[in-house]
Amino acid sequence: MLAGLLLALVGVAAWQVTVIPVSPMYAEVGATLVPAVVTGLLGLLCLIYAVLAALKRVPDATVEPGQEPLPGSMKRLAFFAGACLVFTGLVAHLGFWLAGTLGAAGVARAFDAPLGLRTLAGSAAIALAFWALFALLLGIDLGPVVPGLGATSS
Amino acid sequence: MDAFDALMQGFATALQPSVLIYGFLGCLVGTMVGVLPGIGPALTIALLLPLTFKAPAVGMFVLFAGIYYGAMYGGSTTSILLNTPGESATVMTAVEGNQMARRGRGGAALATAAIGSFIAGTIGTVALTFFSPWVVEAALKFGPAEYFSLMVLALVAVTAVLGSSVLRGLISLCAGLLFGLAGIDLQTGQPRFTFGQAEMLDGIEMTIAVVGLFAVGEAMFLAWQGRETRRHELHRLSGKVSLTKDDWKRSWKPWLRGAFIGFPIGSMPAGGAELPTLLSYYTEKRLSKHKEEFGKGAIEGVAGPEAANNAAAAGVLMPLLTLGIPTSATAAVILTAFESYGLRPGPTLFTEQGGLVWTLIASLYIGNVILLILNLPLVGLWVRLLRIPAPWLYAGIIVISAAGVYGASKSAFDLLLLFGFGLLGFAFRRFDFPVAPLIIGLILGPMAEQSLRQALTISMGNYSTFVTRPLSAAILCIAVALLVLPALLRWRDRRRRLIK
Amino acid sequence: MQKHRRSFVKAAAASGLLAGLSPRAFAQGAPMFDTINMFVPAAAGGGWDGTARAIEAAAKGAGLVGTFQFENVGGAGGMVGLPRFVNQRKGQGNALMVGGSVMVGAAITNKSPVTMRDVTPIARLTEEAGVIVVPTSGKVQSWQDLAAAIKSNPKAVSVAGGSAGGTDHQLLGLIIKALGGNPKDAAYVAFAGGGPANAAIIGGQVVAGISGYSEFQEQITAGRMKALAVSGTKRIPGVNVPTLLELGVNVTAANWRGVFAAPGVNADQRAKLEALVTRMHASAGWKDALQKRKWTDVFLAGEGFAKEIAKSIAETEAVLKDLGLA
Repeated sequence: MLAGLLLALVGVAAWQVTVIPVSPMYAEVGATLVPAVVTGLLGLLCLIYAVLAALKRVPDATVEPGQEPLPGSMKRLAFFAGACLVFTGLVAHLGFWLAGTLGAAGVARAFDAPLGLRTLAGSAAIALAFWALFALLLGIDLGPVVPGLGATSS
Repeated sequence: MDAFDALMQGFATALQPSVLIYGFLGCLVGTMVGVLPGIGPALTIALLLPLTFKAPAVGMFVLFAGIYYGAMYGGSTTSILLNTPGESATVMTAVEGNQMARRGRGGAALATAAIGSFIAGTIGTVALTFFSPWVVEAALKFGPAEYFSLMVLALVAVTAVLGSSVLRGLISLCAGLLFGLAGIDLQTGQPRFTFGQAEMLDGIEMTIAVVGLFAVGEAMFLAWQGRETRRHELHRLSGKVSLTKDDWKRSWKPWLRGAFIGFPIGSMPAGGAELPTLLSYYTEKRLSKHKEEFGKGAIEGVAGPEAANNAAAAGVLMPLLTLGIPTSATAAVILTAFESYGLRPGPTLFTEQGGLVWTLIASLYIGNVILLILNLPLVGLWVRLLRIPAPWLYAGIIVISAAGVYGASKSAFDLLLLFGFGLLGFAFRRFDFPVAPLIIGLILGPMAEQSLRQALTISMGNYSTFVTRPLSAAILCIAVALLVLPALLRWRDRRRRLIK
Repeated sequence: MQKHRRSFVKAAAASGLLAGLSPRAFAQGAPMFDTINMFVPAAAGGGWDGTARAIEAAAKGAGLVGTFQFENVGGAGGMVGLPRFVNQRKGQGNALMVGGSVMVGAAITNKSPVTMRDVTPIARLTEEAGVIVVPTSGKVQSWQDLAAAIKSNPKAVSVAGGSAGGTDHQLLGLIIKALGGNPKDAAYVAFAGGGPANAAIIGGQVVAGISGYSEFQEQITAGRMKALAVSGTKRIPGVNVPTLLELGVNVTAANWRGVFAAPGVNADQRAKLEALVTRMHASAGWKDALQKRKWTDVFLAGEGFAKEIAKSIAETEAVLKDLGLA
């Protein structure tokens, strides 16, 4: 399965190599040679991998005994990915605190924390604490903590 | 004036309480910055630059020195305990260090890292004090051809981290090389792999890739597994933070070797701190009597690279102070600070501003001691980090990672890139691909390509430049020997056995 | 600088941790502006950032502005930051952006849809001439030798400088053209940042080097590099190096920096910002900064500056076409 994805990546890379504009400037080795070589190499390796995987010579995924996922793995992953996307999408609009709270709660949920007030409160505390650490103590601007408030000024 | 006398005067200034407090503050901030993934010393010093209009020069530079060294110390902590290096120079530490932590030896790993950092940092500072001019002259002999050969040597060293499957390791390496090529091509100004995004023009920010692949990827993998919340007996740490006699015996040589690999490469104008950690790891793996432990938590694999990256940090200051040439992001920012005081680092700085330079160097010694005192007790505290319940620990890690990346760029694009790399890191772990080669490819790829093309432009397209320049040829010979010799030796052994 | 190529940091002048260390300047009378939003399209710590911070120090010192809010969006010679400034600050009369000739070239080579034409020029502040150097350990030691070598075969004369298409590269292209060669044949070796370029030159890895004078100043003083020519219209004060014009090469180029206002500001807002920058330029703090950092003062406000920009864009386009980059 991964082999397929990798080959798709190689395809995209190969297309991008052809898109590199060729400069008429003097250069012994142009801008395209190395990308082309690396893409070719990666393509070859992925092809070998895909063939071996298809022939079941190399397991596509190896799982150490005792390390296989517990049931509900996809649901946990979905919460995790959702948290990341929610944070990315909202941080500019809701401020770092609210977006961070939602993000942290989603990640906590992905680690089996119950979806309740306690989780939300804990997440809010984490987001606020790190906002304070970065913005107030280290002087790194993360935008307002909530919209329209807390923008640092000199 | 004798270097030693001057240094003593520097100590006299640096030990004044009003200056010492800056040093202490710097070490504290530096350690903090090092521990937090995503923000590094360059960014922190840049943020403090406006203060140079207000504070005295001596205090500021002592502060910056503290931050610089402190970040190098702090960086190892999260790599070891949580497998989440915050910057590329500590990736190698994560490889062995986290395995140690998983086997309940996190305390020992942190201790060997802290003591190794101290020893290598001190060796580096001594070398900086007394040997700068010679080391810098030697480093200047390195032109693009030599750098390319050095990259070839590094690619040989990568074999040490390919993991269980060579094929998977190579795929990971190639993917890294490919990612490394993204952005505007330095030699011709052509955009490559940018998909028309302005944000991609400067390539993939190393910090984003490292934090995404390790911190986010690791958390995602553990969430997928769902075992972390029930792990109580698993990778619990023994509270012991001291080194056993055996640990000392196995650590001291890697510390010294790491220092001697890190310092010269750090002082090279395009050396950096990542290359020495890789070469040190490779050396230790080759020389170790416990080869079977590598990949499963060998203490040498933590001691060597940690020492190497701290020695490299001292090395970077050498071209900065003696020639006024910044060779890393942090050095470039420190150079700006010099400029805003109307100072130009370089050969004339020692004669015109001797007092300031020697105070700075003295404060590096003092900073090293402060950091050791600060960090050894902290080891116990850091280890307790792992007792935080999994949901809060990983929610915290994700929030910090996102804050670091967002704070550095305030761009949603970078956040997407961070989580994209997280997804890739997850897929790599899920399908048992090693991540370290990808990071190394990301670092080596652009360096190797640019130095190859610089060398060829200089030699008018003559590929023989790599073997006709003696230094470059010597490095290539070493690389070939390292690649071929083990195979030859094995072949000889087998033949002997056959004859018998 | 590779690891830290893009960064976007809005820093309070004093971070909270060290706030206690920063005494506030006393304002004399009411300031012209309570707040100025200063936009820097480069990472903290670079040249544009330094200019912006010096403006801040001078303007606050003279009591012209209450506070400055900084915003740094680095990357691609300003091409990541410029569109953001244009979009976010449209019509705002208290926003300023620092920029310069690097931006002109970057907009052309990157075919950026947003260019310097989209912002409102306020004033040019400083400029720095380029300098052509050779390592003192090298074979070529005079301008005549270098010019002869370039004339016979430019591909054999490797020249180190900043990234391809940048001001250093453009200057080399102009010189080769003036000497009768084809700029596309330049054996230009691009280095990431001044550090590695400096090292390659004094290490004798290349025949010559080109960059801003301050980039090489220290090495020239120390006798590791020999300056052969400078690219300004006049010699740099206190520096005994002939200009290209004196050497019979009809090339002048300088890397200038200035400040811009947002697009869509009205005439009053523009006049007020121009007055601010003019008064800032006259302040003692600015004179001090110029002297300390060895910047050449080329103050030019208003329409004159706008004309200069138009000229600069046209010239840069021509050079980059010759180099094959536009």
